[in-house]
Amino acid sequence: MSAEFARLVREHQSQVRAFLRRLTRGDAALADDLAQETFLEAHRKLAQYRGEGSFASWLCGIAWSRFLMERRKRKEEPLAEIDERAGADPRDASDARLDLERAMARLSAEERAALTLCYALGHSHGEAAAILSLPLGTVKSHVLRGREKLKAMLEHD
Amino acid sequence: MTDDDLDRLLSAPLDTVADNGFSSQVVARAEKGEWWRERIALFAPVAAAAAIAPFLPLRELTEAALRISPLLANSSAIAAAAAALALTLTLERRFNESAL
Repeated sequence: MSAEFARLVREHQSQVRAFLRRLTRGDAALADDLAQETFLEAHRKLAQYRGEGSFASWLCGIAWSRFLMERRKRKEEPLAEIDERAGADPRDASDARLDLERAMARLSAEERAALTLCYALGHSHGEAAAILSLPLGTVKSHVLRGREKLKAMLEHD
Repeated sequence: MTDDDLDRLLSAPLDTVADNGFSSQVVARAEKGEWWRERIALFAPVAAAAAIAPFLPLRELTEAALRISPLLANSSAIAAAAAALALTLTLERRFNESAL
């Protein structure tokens, strides 16, 4: 086991887990399970990482595909239960932040992922498209539509 | 809420998630998986070879190997191919290491 891999996990765990928490609408236990699977898959496929894009983007791509697999597996028992406490730890979140997380939980997974990648994680639309394995135009419309829905929900609340 | 407010809110970094043993748990699971993969990679070919060995025409194979060995040893084309293969593998390993 390389010390390098241990360093990579320590360095990226927070971002991957936070990304997955948002995807799973704040289900921290499920997000952590998926994050573990993400890192284990990354470990198995390290040799396939060609340095196209950042390592963090590569990890987010694996995390997204793990999330989709989990969602397919739970088709009968969808991840769509909206938890009013979803997404943020109320101990250290502002009201605005909590409102955002609640509204975010009402978006589709694709919209949540696209908005999170493009805003909170600072990826370009092209990078987000590569991470989500979606056409660029689709990502742009997820961002646009998700943003409009969020604005409407936050104004309404 | 203005567009700027929404942009600011959306652009805020995701909450930091405390490690709380997560990394060491992942590394431990990866080590365990690696241990099994190494054993499988080591023993699976041996087991497969042992399983098919009784059905191989060993005498004919040995005779054929003895016949072609001198030809291969003196072939410059084979030597060049082996060198190219070794060079490719070395470069690939270096590339993978530098990519991290």
